Amino acid sequence: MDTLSAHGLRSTSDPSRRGFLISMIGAGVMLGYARRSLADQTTGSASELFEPTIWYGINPNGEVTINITRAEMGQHVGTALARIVADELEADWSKVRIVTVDSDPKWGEMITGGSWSVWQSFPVLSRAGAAGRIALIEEGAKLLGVSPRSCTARNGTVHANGKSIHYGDIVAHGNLRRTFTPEQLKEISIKVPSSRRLIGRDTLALDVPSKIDGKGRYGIDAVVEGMIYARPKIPPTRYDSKVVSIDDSAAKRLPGYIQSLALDDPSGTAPGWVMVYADSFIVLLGHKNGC
Amino acid sequence: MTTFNLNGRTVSVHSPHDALLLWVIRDELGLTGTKFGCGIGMCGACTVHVEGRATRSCITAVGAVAGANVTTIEWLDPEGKHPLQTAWIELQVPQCGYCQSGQIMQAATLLKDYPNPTDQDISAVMAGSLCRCMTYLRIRKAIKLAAARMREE
Repeated sequence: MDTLSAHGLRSTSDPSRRGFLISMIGAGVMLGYARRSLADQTTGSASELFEPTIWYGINPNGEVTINITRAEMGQHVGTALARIVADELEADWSKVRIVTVDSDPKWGEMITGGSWSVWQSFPVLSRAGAAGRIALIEEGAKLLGVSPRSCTARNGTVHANGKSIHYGDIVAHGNLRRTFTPEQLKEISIKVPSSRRLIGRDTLALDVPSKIDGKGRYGIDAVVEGMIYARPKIPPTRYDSKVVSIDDSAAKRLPGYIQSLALDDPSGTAPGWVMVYADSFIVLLGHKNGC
Repeated sequence: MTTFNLNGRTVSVHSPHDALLLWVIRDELGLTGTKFGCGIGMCGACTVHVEGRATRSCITAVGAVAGANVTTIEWLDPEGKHPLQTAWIELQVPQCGYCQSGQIMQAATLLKDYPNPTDQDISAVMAGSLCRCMTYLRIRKAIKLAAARMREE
């Protein structure tokens, strides 16, 4: 059974009870924790049906793309989490990219705050990185014709007896398929702090370039297909206001105006509000000025 | 319909003349690097260049820029390598980054007027560009770094 955490949300981030899957998808390799389906989490039944939550991928160019499930709010959390994966993966940091994921429930708990993100993600992401490194070494050893025991991984490359192969070439030419059971994952030993190569060292945050050229996407920049816009018309007094009637005859003359609806709010949080809808925010600004 | 030059390209927009330049740029023309902050010209997040001057697009009617050259953060340098932008990365200026488009656009006009700005010059010109993350110290350093490099060029 899943336990409900203190803030009332179901925790799905306990890695000790999930396996880890590595599989080829398209030209690249995807690595992620298996999860039980949401239905099974609700009922608590021990289904064998696994659905991978893809945590990161490696393409044939050796680029590692890490999915970030925490909100970037100026703390550069994506860089911190990517460093955890990359350190154990022995990735080439110059080839590490981050992607901020959507809000699909499959990503589990996405709350960001309370100084939780790094320490709570560490056990999950460090093992995800380590599992990837182990699989890359095993497959790299095959391609090099050596024993995995003679291999070391460093900076996105597997080395053995003077020979080496880049991660990208392993992805391109190898067959990376591997499953780790929860027990096997638990047995993977994580680096001691003195062996870390990325964590704890200064670096340039991966989110900064998109914040200086206008390309970064913020909440206000989100667009969905067929999106319309709304803004509230708020009553002059805060409490117990009621909408008696709506006269939108002037608004109807504005091109793009859709309609106005009195907000039905039994909670009383927004009493007497009218929501005005249009096909662009520009129309709504015009509506406000025209009333 | 209003016609003006945006980022080196002639554009004609359908928004009414009194529509605000910020929303025309963001919603009608789809360039979202320019941000909405306060909507009353007090925070600087919406700063663009009109004929090379820093202008608050949230209180500027699009009709007022008819025929003018307008530049947004996306085109300050076509490759995003204006000396301010490289200094901004080097000194890791942004935290959340929401205000930084406006900060950089404002700073770009500052450097045109004051190629070797003092702390007082920077405070005077940048005072209208607010940053809730409090990145002001790094903004100041980055402006001085970019200014030094631009003087060397």
